[in-house]
Amino acid sequence: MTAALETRNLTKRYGRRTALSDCTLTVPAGRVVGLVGPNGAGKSTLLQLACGLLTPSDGDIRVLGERPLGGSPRVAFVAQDTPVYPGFTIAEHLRLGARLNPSWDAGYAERRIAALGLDPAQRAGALSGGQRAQLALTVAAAKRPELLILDEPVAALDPLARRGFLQALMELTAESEVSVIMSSHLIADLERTCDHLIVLRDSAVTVAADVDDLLATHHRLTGRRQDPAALSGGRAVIDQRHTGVQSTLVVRSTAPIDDPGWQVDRLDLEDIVLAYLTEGPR
Amino acid sequence: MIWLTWRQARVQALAAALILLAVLSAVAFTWPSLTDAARVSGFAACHGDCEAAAGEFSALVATRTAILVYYAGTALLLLLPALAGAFWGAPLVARELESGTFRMVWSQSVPARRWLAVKLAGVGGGVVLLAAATSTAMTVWAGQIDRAYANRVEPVIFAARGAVPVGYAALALVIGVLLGLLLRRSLPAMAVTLLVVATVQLAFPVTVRPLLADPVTTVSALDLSAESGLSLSVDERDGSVEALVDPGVTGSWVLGNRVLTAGGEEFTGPMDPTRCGLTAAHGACLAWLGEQGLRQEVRHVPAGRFWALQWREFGVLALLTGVLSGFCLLRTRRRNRGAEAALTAGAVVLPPAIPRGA
Amino acid sequence: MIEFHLDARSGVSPYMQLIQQVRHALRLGVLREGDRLPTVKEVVARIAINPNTVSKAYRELEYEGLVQARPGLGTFVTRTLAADAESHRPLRHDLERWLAGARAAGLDDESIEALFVSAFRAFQEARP
Repeated sequence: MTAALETRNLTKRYGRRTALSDCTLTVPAGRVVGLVGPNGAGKSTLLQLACGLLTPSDGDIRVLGERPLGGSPRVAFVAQDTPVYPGFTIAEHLRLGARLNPSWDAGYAERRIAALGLDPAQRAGALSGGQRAQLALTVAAAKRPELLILDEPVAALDPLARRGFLQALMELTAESEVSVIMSSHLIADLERTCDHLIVLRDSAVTVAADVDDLLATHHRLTGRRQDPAALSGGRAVIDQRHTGVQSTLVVRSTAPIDDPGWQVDRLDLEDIVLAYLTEGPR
Repeated sequence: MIWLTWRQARVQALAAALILLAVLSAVAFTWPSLTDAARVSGFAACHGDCEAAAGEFSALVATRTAILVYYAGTALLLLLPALAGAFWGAPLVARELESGTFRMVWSQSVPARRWLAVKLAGVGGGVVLLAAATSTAMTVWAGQIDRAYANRVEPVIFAARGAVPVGYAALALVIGVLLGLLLRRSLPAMAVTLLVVATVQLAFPVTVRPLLADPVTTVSALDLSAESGLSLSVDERDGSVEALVDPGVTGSWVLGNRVLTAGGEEFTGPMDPTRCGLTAAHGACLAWLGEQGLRQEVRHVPAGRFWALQWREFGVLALLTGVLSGFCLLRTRRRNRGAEAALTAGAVVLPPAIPRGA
Repeated sequence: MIEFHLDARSGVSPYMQLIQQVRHALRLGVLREGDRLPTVKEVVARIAINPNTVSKAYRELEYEGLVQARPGLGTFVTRTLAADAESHRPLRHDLERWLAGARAAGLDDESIEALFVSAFRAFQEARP
């Protein structure tokens, strides 16, 4: 199966500033993939390169096995802040989608708008942030893409609107074969909605794994102060903190930890991601 | 795509339709009064030397509503390019870039280049249509007035008649689009467009039009009779002279008008103080001037060249429009520079995500 | 029909949470043999969860023999865990005796819980 997104040494420069340097990663197809990383890690740039809105300065990028081209019917994009035309009505947005996309699914789009309880005659400028995001998602999804790319779609939404958006997105993935790549700072959201997670830091992939595996293999160890090297093999220390008397470690281990010297705790996804991001300089 | 272009430009289209309607109704409304004035003054039936009839016609028109239409229509045609550039051209791409909607519309199944090409063609077509209709109406309607004023080939009226207004409007539109693409903000793009279009309109008659016009140079013996309107101003200190004389070419666009000496130099004096001084006998100075063999050189574009010059200038403007349009498309196609620059601006500090209309 | 919920901060993966909730419902007798579990789409629409996660949890439950998927109809409970409560009585008795001993030894509630959890984990991880 071809990867949804594959890059090799991908680099993007704006004049003298480098937004993405030497990024090599593979995003599997048929999955919902979360992309996390601090601001400036190059997430937005990577996603816009994948949509063909930008062209790479260097390196190679393949989307669904092809070089990305702006205006591809196979890829849909929901941009940051979910821009819509404030002067257009909802119906006119759907008409725009129908006119500009040969693969447009008008029935789906109308059903979605009806299910959201939105009035097609309403101007998009009068919509709430959540409704606007839903409209942008509808326009992107009714294109019936093979790959849907979302750049921080819920960042500006209140919790209720965010939940509504993610429900709509998950329903979409349940009823179609679409691959999804979504960047977000809200790791708790990604934990429930994504099955694969990529942590990007300084353009480099720090970790890329299935969410279930990440949760199953990462532990927090707390115990008397000691050298982490004392841990037996097959375990990687991701993050370590020491006080005068205590050591706190985040370790990745596929084997169970039965050392009585350590108290072993579970970590949620956010703690795991933070451990990878605060890990000493690469 | 055509629907989208129409949907986004329909307010401007309505404005254009209203402008056109106003022009056509004003022209139609004053047409009887204008033809009546031409008939009553005898100017309509006059051929050949019609100076007296033209004067009478002009005086008559000046008292009627038609004169307002004449000035308003001419002013409209002179301002139309700037309006088209600033209000239709500049926001065309800039508004999409500043509101971020380009990210939405460029991720539909239409390449950005085709998107811009259709928008340019659609809005450009509208502008060309408006300019052509207005200019045709004014050129036909003001035909008699232009004949009476004999100034059709002069810079101001020239740019408001015939094919040239269409060329300026189209060029201004593309200038607006290009500046919007480069500046990425509607308001600055509109302001700079106004400035650039005004500069082009002022600079063209001074720099390019004389080159296109291929002016005629005539040299004749200086007419010293009273009708020639000769006036001499003498500098008291060194006796140097500035000679001014009527060009004597009606209906032409005069580019140069000099008095030359017998040797072909520009005549600057000095004059013989004994015959032209304050104490000299009456008429002695004229006689002295007559002895100098002075000649008058006039460089001008005759009225008959009007249409030839119109089409040449229109051709140059159309060519410029084409080149700039190509540049706009190339910039959009090759690199989506506008988008990249918009991102560069936004990527340094991530803008606070405030839901619009929330 | 049961309703699922997700605890984002538990560190337990979402699919495991779903499995635990079904098992819990079986133990408490909330779910009985023949009951239908919500469809993947229903779960997804209610708690905004990845559909693959729900399918994975249902597959796991099916593997454990607790539920069975009937194509076109849904996923149905095939076995209940509630009956086991009766057979747990002697074990519970032993545990209560142990707790009384711990209290007599001067341990407070928190120490008892920590001791139990750490012993249980060690036991669990030594014999997965």
